[in-house]
Amino acid sequence: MSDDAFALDIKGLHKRFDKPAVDNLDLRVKQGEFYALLGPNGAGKTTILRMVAGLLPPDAGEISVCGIDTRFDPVGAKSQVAWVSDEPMVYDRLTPLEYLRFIAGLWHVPAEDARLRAYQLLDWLELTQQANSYCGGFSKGMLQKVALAGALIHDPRLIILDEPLTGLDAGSARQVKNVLKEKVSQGVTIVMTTHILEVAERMAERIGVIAKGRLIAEGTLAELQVQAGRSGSSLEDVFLDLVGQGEPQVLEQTAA
Amino acid sequence: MSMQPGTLPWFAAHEFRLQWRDLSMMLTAGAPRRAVAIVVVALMFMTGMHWIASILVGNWVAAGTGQNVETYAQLTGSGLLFAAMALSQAMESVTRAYYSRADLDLILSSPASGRTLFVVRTGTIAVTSMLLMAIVISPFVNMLIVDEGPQWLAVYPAVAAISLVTTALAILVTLALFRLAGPKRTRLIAQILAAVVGAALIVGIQIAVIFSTGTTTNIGPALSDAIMSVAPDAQSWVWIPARAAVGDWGAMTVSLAVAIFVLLATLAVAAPGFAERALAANAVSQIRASSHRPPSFRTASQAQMLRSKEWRLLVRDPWLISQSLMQLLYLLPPAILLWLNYGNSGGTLPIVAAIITMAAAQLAGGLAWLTLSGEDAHDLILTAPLRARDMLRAKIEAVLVAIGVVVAPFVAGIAFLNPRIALTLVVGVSLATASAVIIQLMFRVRAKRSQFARRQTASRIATLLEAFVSITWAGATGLAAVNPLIGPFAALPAILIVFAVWLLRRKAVAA
Repeated sequence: MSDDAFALDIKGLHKRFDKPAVDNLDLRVKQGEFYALLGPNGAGKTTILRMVAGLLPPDAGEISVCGIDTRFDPVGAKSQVAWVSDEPMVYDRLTPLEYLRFIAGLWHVPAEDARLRAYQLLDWLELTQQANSYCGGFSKGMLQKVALAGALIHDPRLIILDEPLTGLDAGSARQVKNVLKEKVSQGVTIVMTTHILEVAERMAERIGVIAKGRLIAEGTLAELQVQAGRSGSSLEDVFLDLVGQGEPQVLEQTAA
Repeated sequence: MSMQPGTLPWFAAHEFRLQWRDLSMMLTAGAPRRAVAIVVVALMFMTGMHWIASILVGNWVAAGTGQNVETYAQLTGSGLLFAAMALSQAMESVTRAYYSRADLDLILSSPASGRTLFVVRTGTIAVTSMLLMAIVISPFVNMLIVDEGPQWLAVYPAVAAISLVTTALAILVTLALFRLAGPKRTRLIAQILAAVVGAALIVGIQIAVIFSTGTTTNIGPALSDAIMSVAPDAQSWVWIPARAAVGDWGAMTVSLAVAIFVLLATLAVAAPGFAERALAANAVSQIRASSHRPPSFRTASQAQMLRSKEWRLLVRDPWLISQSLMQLLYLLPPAILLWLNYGNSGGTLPIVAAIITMAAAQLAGGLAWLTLSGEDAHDLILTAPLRARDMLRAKIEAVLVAIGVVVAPFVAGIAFLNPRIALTLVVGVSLATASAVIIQLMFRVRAKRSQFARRQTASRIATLLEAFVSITWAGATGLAAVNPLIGPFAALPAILIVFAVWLLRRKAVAA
């Protein structure tokens, strides 16, 4: 398979803070794939995604986005990527339409295309009513939808999402999931971290499990079940086995 | 000894603990070892202040103090200046007590009394105000004690009375705003009022003197003559606070009794409805708006988009509006001076040029902080396909253009009177603005715009350097307006400081 068949190609990635956060990581995600990155808190998931998005320089290793090496053409790589974090990156005193116009400008989207896409996205995410209100008064779910619209307005080929469903109500979460599914059907690649294992189980084509900065398991749910030696088990059981957290202790035992 | 939870002493202990931790965090930035350095710097600062105070107080004592109208008038004037600043600070704190959501939701959703919480928070505001004023005036009081005796210790209870009354006034103003403007607008109006009140007295005095004398150089004598011509005799009730400050026990008792009564009466009025008002403030979003015109989607470069975003956010920022109003208020006296001296301004224009340079540099510092540090979507900008250098350039351009727009009318007015001084002003403002921007660039941090009000405490070095450089550029511009050959020499300290900052910080910033 040629290199540009991969939307994301990571080789030998290292990042160290006080201790290694990402340790010799190799990861490949195909074009048009929905990939979920799972791991316990502090496993290094967000660090990996921040390096891919160009927010954090790696200590060593290579990252290619749609065939573009981020070391040699960081701006070119960024133009292919959209980053959505759990904290919506919006401005309190811009309206959603102003925000989308701003992002479209940063990503060089032609004005007319930007206008059409902005209205379409706001309609799609049911934000038309709030299109001209300051974002400062919005709920977390609405802010996350505005941020998602911002990520989609420049038609990225790779969307990176770090816990995008945190704090969303069921309706908003459903809308976000539908939008992501639709984008994958259009050939967009999605790499997402989540602690909601059910979402990963239902939506992701492949799942990577990270622990202590290393990729310890990868594959479809069936493949992970085999790797964990737990055929027929839920992703939750498989995941806990893989990261070595096993069965939770009973409260009485702990107290004793 | 454990205290009954939810009671006044329990809340007071809780508030004290939080305030103390905030203060130590602010001073040491989480590194306890810095405490020693802070103490050393504070001691050096206080020594310097005592030296300055010894000169000022020495002159004053030499001119003769005593229980007379002249002394009372001078003390009352100083007290009013402090009161204006204390009121400004108290208004900001009271507004925060209603609108800050830090722990208000938690406490108001508990069975604890909102009334008790309000009383404790009001007390904290008053005590903080007292301590701050006491620290500021202590070098002067100490030197007065050395020169004249311990009766000057009575200044401290007088200061306490001022703090109690200004805290009460701040609460009453906030209550009035809630009633007149509603919870949605109260915060913004109160912030603007606080800024204006802080500057109003000084500016008002300057304007009054300008109108009566046509200059600001003789404020002291002019003001003294004006006041003494209408001042009542020494036994008048007007001088009760001043008599308290010079050790008159009767006046001190009356001052403190009135101050305590005013604060208690205010608490009796305000405390019962605190929870309701705080919840009302929570229920409305002061930044929600629904009547904005849809933006037009035009083809624009990335830099244009960034600049346009910065300007849009700047004009919509309530903190910035209040700060800018204060800056403009400080520019009012020189503007009036300009108007009064129309056609005959050779002697006063250098002062005007210096003041405008100072205001422009301060404003530039604020704007630069907002655009460079107070970026609410850092990650978004960093993931955009543009080089960091281009992004920074666009943001700096946004600041420079904004300063240009504010200063341009003043430059045009001065150019009409004296083109050479106008040119000097343009150079002075440009360099002062550039210096402020460089300092903010070299000390930039990752912060939210909402932290703007606390930017001075967040980076004390940057604030001090910015103030020093602004003053130096203002002085250099004023001197250059008088004699173009002197100006560059006067600017040398500012140039050296900015160069040193760039040299020392550029590697850290690049990293």
